[in-house]
Amino acid sequence: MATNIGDICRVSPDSGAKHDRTALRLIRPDFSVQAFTFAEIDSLANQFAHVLDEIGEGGGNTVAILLPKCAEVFHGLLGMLKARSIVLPLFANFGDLALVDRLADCAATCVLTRRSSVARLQNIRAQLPALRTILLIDAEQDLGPGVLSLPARLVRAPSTYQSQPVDCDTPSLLHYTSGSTGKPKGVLHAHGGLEYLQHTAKEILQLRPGDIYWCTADHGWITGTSYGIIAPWYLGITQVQFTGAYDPDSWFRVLQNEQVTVWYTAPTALRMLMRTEDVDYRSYDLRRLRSIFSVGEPLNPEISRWANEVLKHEIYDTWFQTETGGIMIANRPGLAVRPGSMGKPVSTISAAVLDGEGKICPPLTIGRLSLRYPWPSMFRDYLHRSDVYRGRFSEHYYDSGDLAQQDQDGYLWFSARNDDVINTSGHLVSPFEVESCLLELAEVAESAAVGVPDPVLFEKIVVFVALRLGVEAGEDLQMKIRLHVANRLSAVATPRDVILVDRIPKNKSGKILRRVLRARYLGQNPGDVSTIEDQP
Amino acid sequence: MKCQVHLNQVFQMVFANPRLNVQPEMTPNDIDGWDSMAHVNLIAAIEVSFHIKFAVKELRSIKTVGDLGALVDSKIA
Repeated sequence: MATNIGDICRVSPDSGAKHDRTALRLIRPDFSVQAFTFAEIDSLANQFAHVLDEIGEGGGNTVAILLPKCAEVFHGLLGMLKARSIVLPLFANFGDLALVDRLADCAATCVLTRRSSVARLQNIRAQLPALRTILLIDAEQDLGPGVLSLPARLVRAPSTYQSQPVDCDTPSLLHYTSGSTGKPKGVLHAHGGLEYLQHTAKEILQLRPGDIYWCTADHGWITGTSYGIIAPWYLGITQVQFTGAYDPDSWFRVLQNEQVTVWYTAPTALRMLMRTEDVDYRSYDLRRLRSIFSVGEPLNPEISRWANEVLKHEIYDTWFQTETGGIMIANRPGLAVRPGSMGKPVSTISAAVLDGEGKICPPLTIGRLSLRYPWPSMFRDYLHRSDVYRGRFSEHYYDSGDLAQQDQDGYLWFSARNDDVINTSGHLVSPFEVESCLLELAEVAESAAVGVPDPVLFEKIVVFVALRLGVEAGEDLQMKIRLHVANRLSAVATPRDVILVDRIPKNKSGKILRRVLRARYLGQNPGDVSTIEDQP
Repeated sequence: MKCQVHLNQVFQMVFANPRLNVQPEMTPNDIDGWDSMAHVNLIAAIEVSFHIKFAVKELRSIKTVGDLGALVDSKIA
């Protein structure tokens, strides 16, 4: 048996009471606050679980959350877990293609959303045969068969609930991630990861009683669930969440006014802050702020210097993946930071840099960053892709897909991805998905997508497009191409540059030579081009 | 906003929602998908569609659709 993650507002690792403590302060864009105690969140989650049971969506069904940050995300997610549903948190800005890929793959039966998304879901419903319920947080009554009001049901649901029993391998959350080829893969997690998450929140984030904690990650991202909901609440920590869009002034007002003590954010956000020159960050009172952590992409030494100088704080970079569930390697207070390094493994994790034969590389040699398994928060499977899942493991190690090196003192240093996946502002985007999406446009004959270094996004997406004969290139077409990708996949996947070419370089097997395109874009030597098929 | 009809068309295109009917008082919280990434696309689409250019500082003051419309109006006047 394991603790049901849905009960984290009721139970604690140390059995400490937290009922009347504030669990959540939801800050709206106008800075009004909606606050909840742990007892209130737990009651709402109980009611939510009853609703799921009433409509037949508990007990192993996959329920998606398609919402921006709002209270229902938090108590809804816990209610789903209490009812033993598998939770699929989605980014609210996903386009219809991204939604179909995910909802169809996992056969989600229910989507928690709001009225403004109903039309979007109805448009793709024919491709989602398993979907039977759209549950609306903002409809006072049902809008039709299968389009149900949550408030109407919550109001009559009891506030106590006996959570469904789970064991360590009972599925809990499903987050999708992108690979070099094929559709996104569903990364399945289990209730057994809970203790590891609180362990890392204590060891790395060093959360402690009395902290006010702010994790800026969206719940569509593993950080947003593991460290934006689960770990801090299990430890009884008060969380702040801001529901407005990114804005430097607003973010710093939140840090100051809410007296945030631990802030977990992303390098892209920090880089954007750093480049906003008309905000005087020194004018904000951040005396309560103890630590800043980041995750998602490597942290440039430049940001560390800026933070030390302007914010008077070190930034502790952390590393983990959707697959690992929790932080694996990190900088942390008490460990001297080497700017640009990922830090050292968590105390219970053994990381190694392996060569092509699976042997440990000597120090300062680039190899595959690998983790000795098992660890409690590791993913349990790629949904419907167990063959790919097994392929990630050798006899003792999990292959992260990242290349790194380790110095003589044990610090790890990220080098690059070992595949073509693009990491743009912490989101992994598959070039294949972008290319497939571009080919939907009648004007496009061929396409290729690559990631190239970017000072803000870490990598930006650049697409190369060969147009069909007779199609006229222009600004409008470029915008059409950008918006098509944004609307079909997500705004995150928007190509920042569209380069028109006569043809896409491929090898004799038809594989797109992305390294050649990347080199051309960067004005570098493309290296060996002898394999290009039919060179002009 | 003099540009409201045209601006609404750009919003509809950017957010792939032909039923969207923007109003001056609307904020990013009122429009599905209007986050920081989509905002970049919105601004780029407005620049192309209206044949105008924004300065970074001008964009920092935009909080509502009305603010954006007023800025566009000032540039096409």
